[in-house]
Amino acid sequence: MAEEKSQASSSKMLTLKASDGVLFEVELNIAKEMKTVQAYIDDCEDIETIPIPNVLGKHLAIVIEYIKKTNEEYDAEFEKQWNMDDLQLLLLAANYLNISGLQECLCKAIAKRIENKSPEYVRKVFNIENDHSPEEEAKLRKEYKWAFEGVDKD
Amino acid sequence: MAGKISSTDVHHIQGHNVDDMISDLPEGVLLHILSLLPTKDVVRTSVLATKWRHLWTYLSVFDFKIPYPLYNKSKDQNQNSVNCLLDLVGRLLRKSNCVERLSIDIFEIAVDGDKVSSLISSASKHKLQYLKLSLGVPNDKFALPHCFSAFESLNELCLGLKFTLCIPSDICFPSLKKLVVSDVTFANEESVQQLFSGCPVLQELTLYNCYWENIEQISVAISTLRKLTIYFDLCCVDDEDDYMTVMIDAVNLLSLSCTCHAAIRFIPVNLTSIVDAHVHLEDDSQLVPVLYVAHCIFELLSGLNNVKSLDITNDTLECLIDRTEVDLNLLPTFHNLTHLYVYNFTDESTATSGVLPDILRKTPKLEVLYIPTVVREYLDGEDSLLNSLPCCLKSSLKRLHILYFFGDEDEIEFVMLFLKNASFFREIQLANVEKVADIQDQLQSVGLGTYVEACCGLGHSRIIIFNRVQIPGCFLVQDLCRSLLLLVLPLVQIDLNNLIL
Repeated sequence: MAEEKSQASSSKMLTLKASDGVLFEVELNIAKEMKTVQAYIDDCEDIETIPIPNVLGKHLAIVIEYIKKTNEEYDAEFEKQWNMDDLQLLLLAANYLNISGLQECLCKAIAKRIENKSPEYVRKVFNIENDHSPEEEAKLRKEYKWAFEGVDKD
Repeated sequence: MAGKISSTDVHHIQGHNVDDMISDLPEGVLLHILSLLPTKDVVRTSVLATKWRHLWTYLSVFDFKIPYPLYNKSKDQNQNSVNCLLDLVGRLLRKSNCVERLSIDIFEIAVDGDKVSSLISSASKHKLQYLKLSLGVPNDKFALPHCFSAFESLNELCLGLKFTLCIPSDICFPSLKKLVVSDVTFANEESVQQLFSGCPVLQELTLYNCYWENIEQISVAISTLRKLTIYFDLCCVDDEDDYMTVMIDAVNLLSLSCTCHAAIRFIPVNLTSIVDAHVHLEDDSQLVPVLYVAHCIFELLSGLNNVKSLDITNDTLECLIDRTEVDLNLLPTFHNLTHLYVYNFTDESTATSGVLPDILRKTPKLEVLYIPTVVREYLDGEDSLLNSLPCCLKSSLKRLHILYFFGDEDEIEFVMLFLKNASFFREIQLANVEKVADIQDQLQSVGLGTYVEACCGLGHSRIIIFNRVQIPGCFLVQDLCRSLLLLVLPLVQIDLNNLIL
């Protein structure tokens, strides 16, 4: 009896609804890798469709595929396909959905892309607005002179 | 991973928005990204925006280095850079309280001793587990500050203070398990003893390139020590009368490595737990009396007689070559030695020392032997008593590795001699072999079974000579494979002589 039940639950399908209305049918064990979804299921056992209000269909698709395929080889190639905007959105999604493996993979990818880059490059890539006054910035650059030597040219 | 965005926060950041997303990630996630970057990058994030100004100071691992001077700058400018960095680190240590691992590595340039003391003092307020300090110039003096004793959680310390160090008598590292002392000049014997006795739970000690001014003896008497590595400048003996003694009294020592000038005398005391040892002692200067060197090495080897695995260089053995100086029959038996590796430190293909047969008489349990070339001494028919085959050949030896083999008559004779007399022998491996096919032919023509193994990525092959007669199982597997192939592929024309199994 216990065997039957576990067989039934492992093939049980769940529907995830992205912010733009796109629906994804996933197996329960895939969905459980998203700890946020797991918590949702724990709270309401009979739920069949779970709303994911913060993640676009495009990104949810990528996340689901990651969970299905993740291994060392896949992870190494995974990050190369996405531009910086997508990487950030995926990280936000992975953070919201609470998927630690994916978060780690994305953090590493983002770090790799900004390594040894100038602050100007990093600001541009992340759309960070520089709210330092010129004097403040000059003072910081002087104090931390060591850090500004030998940086990649943009 | 710390920090999670709530759905209401993220609600603003839906797909189309190209605003600054990254700064809105939870602090824990941002810090995690920073922790994956080199320290230089991390410090630079302080100028990105006001929100980022202090974020980097919440990290716990820092690695500050200026490995070499910038050649397009003057000496003053370089000095200035160094002072600037030390100030930066000082400010970080005063502002933060969560640094756990800190490394400061600066090329050889004069630094202000007060700045360094103040840094160490600030660092003592954190729960540091790992600290590396590599800085200074040899002729300057520096007194280790007393506050070093406040480093209660320090597990690992790399002391690369290139000064002449003065060590306070109350120095204490209560949790220190691993200590590396590198490029330090010790002013006197007391300093050394105070440093070692201040490490009550030390397990690993490395002394690398240290200078011992006017010091005749140092004593490494640490009962908790498991691993000791000594690497001294091979040319550091400049005064003929200035030989040093190193006493090693460590009953729990498992691993010992000594690479230094042969004039340094080691006195091993009670090394009953020793498992592996690595010895390279050489005397290129030729200033040191040969007899003294021979006795030193004899003493060290005798003290290591409990060892299971021994790496020793040909150069070390060569110091014992003159048998009138030292009687190797007086060496104790190495009852536990199963693995012996003899290799060349510099010129890889130098012939194996003629001292080896004397050593092998004292290794009754030897199972694996690595030698650079064949030992021609065993082939001298005349002095048969002196060079009779070692007893381990009949009682325990399983594998022999010969690093360089050229296929000449003597070498083949040596291989045959060993195989004929060995009881447990499984195989001989010939490593750097050129003209593999020729040598294989030669070996097979005298009735030896061989096969070739490619050494992945090294570009050359190994020939393995297996002992057909003594190990029938091995023989059968090889021949069984061949027989099976004969059965399975009757119609395919294969030249079996060239088939490599």
